[in-house]
Amino acid sequence: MCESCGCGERTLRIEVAEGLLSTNERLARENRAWFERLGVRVVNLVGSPGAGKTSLIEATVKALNDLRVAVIEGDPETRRDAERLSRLGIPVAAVTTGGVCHLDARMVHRAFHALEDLRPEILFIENVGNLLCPADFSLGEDLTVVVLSVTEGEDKPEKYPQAFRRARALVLTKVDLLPYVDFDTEKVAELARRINPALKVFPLSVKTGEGLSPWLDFLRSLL
Amino acid sequence: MHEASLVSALAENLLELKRREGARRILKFKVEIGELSGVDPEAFRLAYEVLRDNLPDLREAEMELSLVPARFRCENCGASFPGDYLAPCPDCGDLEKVALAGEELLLREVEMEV
Ligand SMILES: Nc1nc2c(ncn2[C@@H]2O[C@H](COP(=O)(O)OP(=O)(O)O)[C@@H](O)[C@H]2O)c(=O)[nH]1
Ligand SMILES: [Mg+2]
Ligand SMILES: [Zn+2]
Repeated sequence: MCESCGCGERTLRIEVAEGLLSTNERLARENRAWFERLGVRVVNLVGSPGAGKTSLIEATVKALNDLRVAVIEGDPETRRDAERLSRLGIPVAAVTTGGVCHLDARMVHRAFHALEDLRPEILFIENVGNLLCPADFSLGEDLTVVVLSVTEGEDKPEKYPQAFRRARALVLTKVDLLPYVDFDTEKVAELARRINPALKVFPLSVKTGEGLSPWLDFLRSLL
Repeated sequence: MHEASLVSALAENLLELKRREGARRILKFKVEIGELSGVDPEAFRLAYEVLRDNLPDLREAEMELSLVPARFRCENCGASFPGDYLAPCPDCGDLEKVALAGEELLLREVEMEV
């Protein structure tokens, strides 16, 4: 009863204990089931703007030319990324996030409708350029890969531990630039492995091709 | 930015509960944020206040925010300890650990007028 006037209103208190992101998690589980049904392996690439995500996808797709690959392009920096990939003959679905700092399961679901009929064996999702926010939003992926370039500094694992904790692999890109920057790949790999001991680390350069084969072998091992 | 999408998810949950219970208004609710979640409670509160000003249904809803400390269990020896993702087990030094607490982003309780 309403204590002040007895008007019959009452206060209801309910225990909820529901995750704020439970809707996204449910949609991610649905995506996951869909991907499994179609037999597509899904790789979610996260990293800062300019880390080299699009370049890594380009180089990877060129090298895996015996596989059916598709891409969901979520980085809104430029529409050019999607066009760049289309030019390689790769089926790309571009997501317009409307300024949101991460992809979510619903966006990926909508985008994948355009790619489903192509029966891809691997789907790469280029997440929005950001190391913080995408870590909270499952997309239904098989694995998350952090892309970190050697020009970004050694402190990234400590600054964004969530991303490293959730990832299965870390690609350290642009190793061709190591002579010009203070970046110790061993040190960063070790720091990242303190956060996530099972993390696989792939230092590579898409410019020289150095280190690309272990990365490609890793992807093939997922199939 | 990040906090903004979290509070809009929160608002969706709250409005859904209000509908479900046929409540007149939401009076109060409790949110728990784990200290490992990367969410800044201050930014979260600010984002909530901005959102609330634009949602008549939440205008009177008071948020009680609590920060949940991190707690891990060592996968090697089973010890339980506080710290962050970088912390090794204080007993055996192992790095393999599971987070028992500190990762939550939770709507814990809601008080409504029905
Ligand atoms: N030297 C060098 N530059 C690279 C490498 N990978 C990417 N880049 C450059 O880094 C810039 C950003 O790359 P991009 O793939 O667009 O990054 P994204 O924003 O993460 O998708 C471009 O100018 C690329 O040419 C690399 O391995 N070595
Ligand atoms: Mg890009
Ligand atoms: Zn231990």
